Amino acid sequence: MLQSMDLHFQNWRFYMRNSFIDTLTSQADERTMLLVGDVGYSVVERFAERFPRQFLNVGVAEQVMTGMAAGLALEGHKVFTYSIANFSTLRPIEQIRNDICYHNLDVTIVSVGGGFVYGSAGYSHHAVQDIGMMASLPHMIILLPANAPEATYCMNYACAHGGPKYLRLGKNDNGGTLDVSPLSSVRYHVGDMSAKVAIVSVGGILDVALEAGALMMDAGLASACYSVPVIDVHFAETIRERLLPHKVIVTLEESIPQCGFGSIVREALEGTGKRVVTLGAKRDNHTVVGDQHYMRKMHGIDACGVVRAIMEVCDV
Amino acid sequence: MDKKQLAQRAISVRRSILSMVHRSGSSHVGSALSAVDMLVYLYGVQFTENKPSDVVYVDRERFLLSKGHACTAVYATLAEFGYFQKESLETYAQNGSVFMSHVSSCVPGVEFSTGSLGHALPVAVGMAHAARLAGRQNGVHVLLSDGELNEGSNWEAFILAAQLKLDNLHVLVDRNGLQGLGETNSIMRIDAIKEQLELFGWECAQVDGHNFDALNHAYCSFVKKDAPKCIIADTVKGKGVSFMENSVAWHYKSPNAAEYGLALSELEVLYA
Repeated sequence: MLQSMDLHFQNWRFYMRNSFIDTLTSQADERTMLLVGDVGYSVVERFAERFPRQFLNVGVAEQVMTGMAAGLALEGHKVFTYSIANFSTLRPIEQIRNDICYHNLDVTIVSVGGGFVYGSAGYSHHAVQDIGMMASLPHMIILLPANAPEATYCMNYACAHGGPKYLRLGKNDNGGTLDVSPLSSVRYHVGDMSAKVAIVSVGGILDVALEAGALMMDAGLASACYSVPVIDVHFAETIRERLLPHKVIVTLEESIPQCGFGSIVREALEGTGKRVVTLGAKRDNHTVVGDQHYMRKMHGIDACGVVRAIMEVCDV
Repeated sequence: MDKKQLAQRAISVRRSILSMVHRSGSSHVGSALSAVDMLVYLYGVQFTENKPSDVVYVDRERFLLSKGHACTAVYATLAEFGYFQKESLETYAQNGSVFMSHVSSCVPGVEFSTGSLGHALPVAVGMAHAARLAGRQNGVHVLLSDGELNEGSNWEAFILAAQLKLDNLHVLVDRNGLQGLGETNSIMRIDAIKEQLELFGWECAQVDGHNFDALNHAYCSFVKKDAPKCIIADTVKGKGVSFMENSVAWHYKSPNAAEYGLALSELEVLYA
């Protein structure tokens, strides 16, 4: 019993959603508002109990949640909306576009369970179009933490910056949690910084990137591994600079790269002469379910799939 | 502002609307004419403390047009009440203009841009809730069309506003009975908007939306603490121009030179 509580305590510190609520609670001032769409059991209570007037469960009603967030922000509040990734983005996408982004309002759309976190729940709960949708909206800053420390980093960013933001959290997935490399918007983790190949990932799938890098090392092919927790207006410039030594850039995400992180990186690196390979979810592959690891494998974005794709490109 | 002054303003606003849609060849003149008297009433009676020279004055009454396609009525009303020069209206829907043909907050005095239906009421719920949290006394007023009640987001907002007891929120439903392809009741029938909202906990009145006394009586008769307010305003689409009245066609058409001249001449006798 004691051991399981211990484990729970340790896990608590490592979950991205707990970093989110802890940072929000510690940084909140009288302007901060948290709206939830009847989601967040055992996560949002700490904020709700400390700031009861600044917390609102609007019910299962994402359109009014998002429109209301815009109204509160128009009146000077700093607003966070919170729901499962597909609910907080897909249903109210027009409210996000017209009400929040068009008016450049200080609202952070918080998603829990980006990608295949709710893998066995079925396609309704897979959030694999969200990154691209958000990236196409005016003024939107995209925050894609891989683990709890990156989630705290992203929340500090969200608290310090106005305008629309999208924060995509995992659930129990944590990439590279034992890693102590310095936090930054484009974050180097491990590997040879002058290697031909760089793997650049977003979200909890960083674990897969690290594993793939280790497997390649075993096979005699060096690589460097990066994560990208923050995509803001400086992104293109930053990533061009950070990836300068690498020739082959492999992006990895738990979403569809054609309308996601992969396409953002490809555009940022246009004209640099680098080979860009974008790995992620397959658009039309949605008829069976399984847990997150199973879903990654099925979409070819488990460590073996990533290594296979890189070997093909590198002609090894 | 007395009834005669309001009527004069309403004629002037209608004249500006006709000029804008004629000049630009744009649609939605019927929707704009339907809403004019409510807007003139609001700005002439309810919003007299608002300051055209300080559009972000914190205690101002907030107004949001949810039926954004009726924007000419709002632009013309704002010009009429001194928010900007009337000459600015001449740029309406022209290349490079901020006077978009769905209401835009780039225009001084416009709180919020809309265009897609069902958006303003959820936003107004947020603004009314913010006023509550800040202890401010200002109201938040939203003008919806009746066809727009097809949109589910409005019903989310109706229920939540009652749940939050936002008695500083005022909705006006421009019930002209017509929408894009025909009569509202033949498309998604809502016979009893007033009764439906009252069941949710709203305080409602149903009045002639072209009668300033009736609108004023409705606004002044609301008494229920904690209940959001709704005026279901019975209106005529195209009001004031006989050949535009109650016509779906004038949701789309723009008056040519002859029609424009004829429409202007009819306005002279509207409140006679």
